[in-house]
Amino acid sequence: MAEGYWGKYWRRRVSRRRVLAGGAAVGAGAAALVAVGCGDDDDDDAAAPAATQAARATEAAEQAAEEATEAAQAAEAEATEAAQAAEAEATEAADPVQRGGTFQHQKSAQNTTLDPSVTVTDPTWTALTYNHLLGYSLVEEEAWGDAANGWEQPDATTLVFNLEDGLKFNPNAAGGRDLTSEDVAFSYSRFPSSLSDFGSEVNQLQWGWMGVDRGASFDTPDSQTLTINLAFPWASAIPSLGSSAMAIVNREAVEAAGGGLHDVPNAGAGAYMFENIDETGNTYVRNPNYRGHSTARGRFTDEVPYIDRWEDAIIVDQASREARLLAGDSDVLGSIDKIQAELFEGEQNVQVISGPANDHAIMELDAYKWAEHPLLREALSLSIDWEGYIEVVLDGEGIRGAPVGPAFSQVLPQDEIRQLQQFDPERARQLWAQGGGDDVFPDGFVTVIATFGTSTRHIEFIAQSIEENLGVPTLLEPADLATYVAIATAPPSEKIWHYFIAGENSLSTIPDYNALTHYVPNGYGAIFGGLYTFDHVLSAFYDDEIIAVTDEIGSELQGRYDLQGATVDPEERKEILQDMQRYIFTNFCCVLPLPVASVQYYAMGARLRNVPPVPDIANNASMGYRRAQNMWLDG
Amino acid sequence: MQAYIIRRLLLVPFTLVLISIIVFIFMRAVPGDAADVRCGAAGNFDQQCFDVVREELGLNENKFNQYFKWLGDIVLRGDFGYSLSQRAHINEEIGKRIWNTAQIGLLSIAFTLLIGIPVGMVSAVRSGKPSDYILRFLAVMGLSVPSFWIATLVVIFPAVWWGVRVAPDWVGWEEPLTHLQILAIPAFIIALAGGGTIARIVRSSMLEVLRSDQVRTARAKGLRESAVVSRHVFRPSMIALFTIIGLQFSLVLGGSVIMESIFNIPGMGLWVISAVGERDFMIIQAVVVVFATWFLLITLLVDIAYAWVDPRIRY
Repeated sequence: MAEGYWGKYWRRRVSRRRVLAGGAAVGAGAAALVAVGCGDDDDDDAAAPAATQAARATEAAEQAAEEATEAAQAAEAEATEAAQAAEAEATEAADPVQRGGTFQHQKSAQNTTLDPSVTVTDPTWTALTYNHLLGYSLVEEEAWGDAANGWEQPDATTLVFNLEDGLKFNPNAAGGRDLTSEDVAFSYSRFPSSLSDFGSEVNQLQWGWMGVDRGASFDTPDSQTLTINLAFPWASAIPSLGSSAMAIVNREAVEAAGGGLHDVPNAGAGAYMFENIDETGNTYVRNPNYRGHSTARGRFTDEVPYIDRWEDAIIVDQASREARLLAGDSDVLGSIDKIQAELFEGEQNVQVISGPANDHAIMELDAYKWAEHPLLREALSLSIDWEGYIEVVLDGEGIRGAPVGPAFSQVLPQDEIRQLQQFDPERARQLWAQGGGDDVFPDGFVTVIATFGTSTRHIEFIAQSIEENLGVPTLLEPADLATYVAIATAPPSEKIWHYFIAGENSLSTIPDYNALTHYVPNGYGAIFGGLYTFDHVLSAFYDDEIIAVTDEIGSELQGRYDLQGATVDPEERKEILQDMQRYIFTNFCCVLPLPVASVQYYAMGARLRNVPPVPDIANNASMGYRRAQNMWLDG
Repeated sequence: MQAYIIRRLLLVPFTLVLISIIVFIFMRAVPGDAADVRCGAAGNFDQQCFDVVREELGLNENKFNQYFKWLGDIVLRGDFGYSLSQRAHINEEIGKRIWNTAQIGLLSIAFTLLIGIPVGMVSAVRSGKPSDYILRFLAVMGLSVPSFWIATLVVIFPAVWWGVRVAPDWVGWEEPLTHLQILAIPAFIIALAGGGTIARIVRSSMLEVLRSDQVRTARAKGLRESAVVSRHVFRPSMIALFTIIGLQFSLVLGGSVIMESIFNIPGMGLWVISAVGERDFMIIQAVVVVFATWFLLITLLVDIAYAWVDPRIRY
């Protein structure tokens, strides 16, 4: 099938490095054409084997060249890393930490509420003005004590925490009284009522693992000891406690405000307090009652954080945010792509932090439309050029995605994913015909493009890949945020889309298991993908006929998910998780994991020191830059 | 004249009601609402949250009830209600923001006249000469190049080339020079398009007068060319400007929405942009009604001034 204009267009969007690489490939191709004698234009069969051989020879040559280049690059990278490490050590030794200064933050919109049990859409204020029991680092794969200075797990459902001495709320919260274990228990107990009374937008997955509404309890034998008795075993309990929603709030402040903290700015014991909130942004100053950590580990300090003050400006326009960073008026821009990272090279006010990404992206199939058609689901998966996606959409810096984040040891090896998730257009067409695809989907597919997103290349690539390799066109339906959400979560019989492509940041909200929740009914599988089971909490809203289609697959997936969550032994859990991933890859229902970036780039102000590494850097669940107390400003 | 003014004033509420119905219907015709955004913005849509929020925001009520309650509050108490997404009283927010938008508007109208009138005059007086062609080219450029594009270049290029920003962060009149700098740049960019329009109108209008008998007579009397232009050409040419200036206000209102976003000015435009993303019907409806009222009153004033300036016009 001929490539369309837009196909050529997105293929053209490349970096300088890829242009050079492309030039080299063109040179190699030209040499190959000369070798086989390119004068013959006939499409006769005899020419094909020669062309194929030439192509194979070229491919082999390119592969060999690539391998050699990769080896050289790897060696160079190692040398560079070693040099950088040495430089960093030398710099650290030479540069004393500077205390003080103002971190210039920026964001696109004001907070919709100031209650951490109701919103986490902006993690800045929760990270600055509240403390949590723990912080969790994806890089170090360990938890660091924040309000807690020690903890143990005597059995699968019991967690015991010991609080720091002398923790106090800020002066505006109940006069700055001591923070006790009862405040922690009170804070965690609020989630069910926040959901029922205030329409909390904090995902239940962030707190539901405790089972607060299903029999969990809290014991506070003294003011510094908290015991959490989980309703059921949960293997990821410790990492989950770092989540920004698990902030510790002051009971009196909540009660004085009638149960919610929507308009109450200072109800925590975090290192900072709100100084001002208005339509231009927020400012934060130190909480005078805040002390350091007696057992400071990781990015927590044994004294107050090094930075004095934070200013958080509301800057709606992306170009303006970029200009502020370039001019040295802001210390953070956020996640950027490889091309922009190259453009920022040499900018005196910018430092680009890069490292291994921990991303998750999915192609959700509407179970209502696809569950009955296993052959068609497989055909769809086989028609997508997964490696091409990495080359084009991820600028060559990508890996094959899986239902478990790439930073975790439970993820399947890349080779196995490539085996399980193949690109085979011929087989795809066979299965499509065998499954009667043209009769089931006579009008092709519909998917949704977010008008608020920064790039649509991933959606365009997949739509084009399916059209080229399966012969089925996709209508791309544009939608703004509210429409996007409404379309994504419409009831099964009302979803206009056949597949829905979404990158998501749940791995930065809660570590490890959260990506997996996209694949199961009790996570996002039902509300997003229509994968309902008969015993699902919302099943009463839908016809049995609809659920009957999806119950079998959904129950199997949910069972495996629950089992891994209840398996505390790491090796045993890894085995269950890997089997579950294989099941997902071979059943194609109803979420297909997409390739993800292997490298994440983050643009920060050049004067920042001790910036947390990627992927922790923006991790609102735990130890990103917002909670890195040992970060400081140079000059 | 008085009867005309009364008739026009009586039409204002009917027009506003019509506008309110249109904006109310259109806002609810598109899928998604504030509850969708609140309960699903982070990709974590929750049905229970959705149900509670819809109830809390009154979105489950009958649409007619919603409309008449909203309209009744405005008519009877001048109350635009509460924002669905920001937990703020809309009247208070309007009070804080409308002056910021008005300042940009007034300044951009001033720039429009300062650019358009001299350019149009010189272009007319030097008609057919190179300076005329250059000025006409610039006027067409001002009209054709989108203001958001110019604004983006103004924001980004100084930062990329020299590491500086020409538009500082928002401050009020407590720092008057910085405040004026913040306002002047977006106002000037909005004025480029308006200035181009005014220049073309002034030029064609002056050319028409320049060819009239009265100008020939004035020249025959031996008046200096500058006196001919200022007394006998410029004044009668300005009548056409009144209508155009009225229309410029609509351009300014539209332009403020974009300019306030790019230059981060906390006015009505920036507010409505955020509200659109959050499907905050209450803010959008309020801003549309305020903008419509503003525009209707300005149009009325222009029409009255038109009759006052040109006694031949009778309503």
